[in-house]
Amino acid sequence: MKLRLFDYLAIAVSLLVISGFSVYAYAGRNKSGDVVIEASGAQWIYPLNVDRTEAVKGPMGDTIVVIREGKAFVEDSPCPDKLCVHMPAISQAGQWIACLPNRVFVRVKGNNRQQVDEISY
Amino acid sequence: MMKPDTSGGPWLRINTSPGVLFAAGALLFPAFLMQQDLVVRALQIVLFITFNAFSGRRVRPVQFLIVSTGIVLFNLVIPTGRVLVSVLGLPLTEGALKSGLFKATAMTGLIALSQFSIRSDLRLPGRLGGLIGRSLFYFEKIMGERRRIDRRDIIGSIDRLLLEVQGPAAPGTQAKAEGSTSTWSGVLALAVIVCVNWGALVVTLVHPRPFWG
Amino acid sequence: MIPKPIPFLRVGIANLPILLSLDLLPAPLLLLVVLLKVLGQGLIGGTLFSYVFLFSAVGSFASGLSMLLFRRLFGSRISLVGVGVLGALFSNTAQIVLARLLIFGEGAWLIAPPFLALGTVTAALLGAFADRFAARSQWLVSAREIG
Repeated sequence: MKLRLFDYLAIAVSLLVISGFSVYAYAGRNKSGDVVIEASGAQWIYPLNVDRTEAVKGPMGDTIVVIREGKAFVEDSPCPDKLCVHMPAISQAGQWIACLPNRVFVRVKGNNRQQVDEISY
Repeated sequence: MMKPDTSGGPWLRINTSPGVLFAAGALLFPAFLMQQDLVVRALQIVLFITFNAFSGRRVRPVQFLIVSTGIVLFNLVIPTGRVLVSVLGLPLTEGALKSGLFKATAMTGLIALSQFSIRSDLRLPGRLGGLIGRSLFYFEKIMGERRRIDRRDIIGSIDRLLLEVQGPAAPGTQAKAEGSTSTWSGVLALAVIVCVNWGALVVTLVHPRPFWG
Repeated sequence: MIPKPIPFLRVGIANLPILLSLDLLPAPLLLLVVLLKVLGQGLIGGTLFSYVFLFSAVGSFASGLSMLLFRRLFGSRISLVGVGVLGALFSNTAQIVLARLLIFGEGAWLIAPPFLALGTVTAALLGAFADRFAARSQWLVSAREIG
């Protein structure tokens, strides 16, 4: 079975494309991580790379968690101090925002681990 | 997959023409696709599968189950929404499950719908339809003779088969298949089915049910 | 018109007539054969309304067009093996993208590498078979004379 020049090239190109897809599918994905929201004994998971707004029910009412442009933050909450609203948006694994009065806990879970400077507020 | 034509065959096949059946299918198509309620979709799928029996096509529900499971699993891999249960470290989420079920029902429902509404002797009009008809004629002829293909001399035997099929004169117009005109009961039955499905769509759009809708 | 045995129900084998006709037919006729193949499979399998038909149509036209292109482009420096492999690459990639959009979501990429790998292998085998068939077939000779 004589294979000609471009047959080999075609096979090479195919192998290249397959490797590319392998890297993308198995190694390079989910760089952005997921947001885990815990409240009222339940847990929610949302990817950081899709914009959305979720109303999380707590004993005091709904805490509004917003995911936008790869970051998550609390837009509004029924707690008196609104500390959670003023906390900066989170996007790295290990970061978190909590509304203690309303018992809502938001954190980022993911593969990206970066050194995070001290956050002071 | 198809039963050979027997006189006094499946009810729908006798009582409707391929064109009418196709039209019914085309009308059902958007009614199914736009349906958001998962339970209603499941019911519609069961409906379409049972109609396949009336249309003369034997379907294997196992195949649908396998396809559906695959689609749902693929969607569950990407978690979204409320976590229902965690299996081996992978959280299974409500959002991913609904999304998976929606796509799986879309896939299997459309397959069941089109299998029931498209008869193999449906002929599209015009020259294209004629071409298709002739291609399928040759295809069926070849399939009929395929026992003659010898494993040890694959190319030679296929070659001889092709030469032989080509030989005789071009096929004349085929005799009209049985059930090629509709009866009133057939058309009525189809009309009822179409109305029921569109009715279901309207009802679920006006009164969506929580979670399933 | 020459009989074109079209919808072999096994997935890859259906491409065989297309491969064989690459050199026989001018481009518009070849694409017509692709269309007939897609519609024929849709009618027999009864899948015209479903996603299956969409996948079949997209895949077949992607492979048909790309195979035409590469055959014309590279001429005798590529055999049906290479042409088939490239055709499968385009066809399967298009189908994966479609699957990502319609049924699998982001999970589609997980199956992309094995799916493409399998497609490449079967395309290479099919191309090799087509090459040998084209070399030996009497029927093809008569088809050339008519066309």
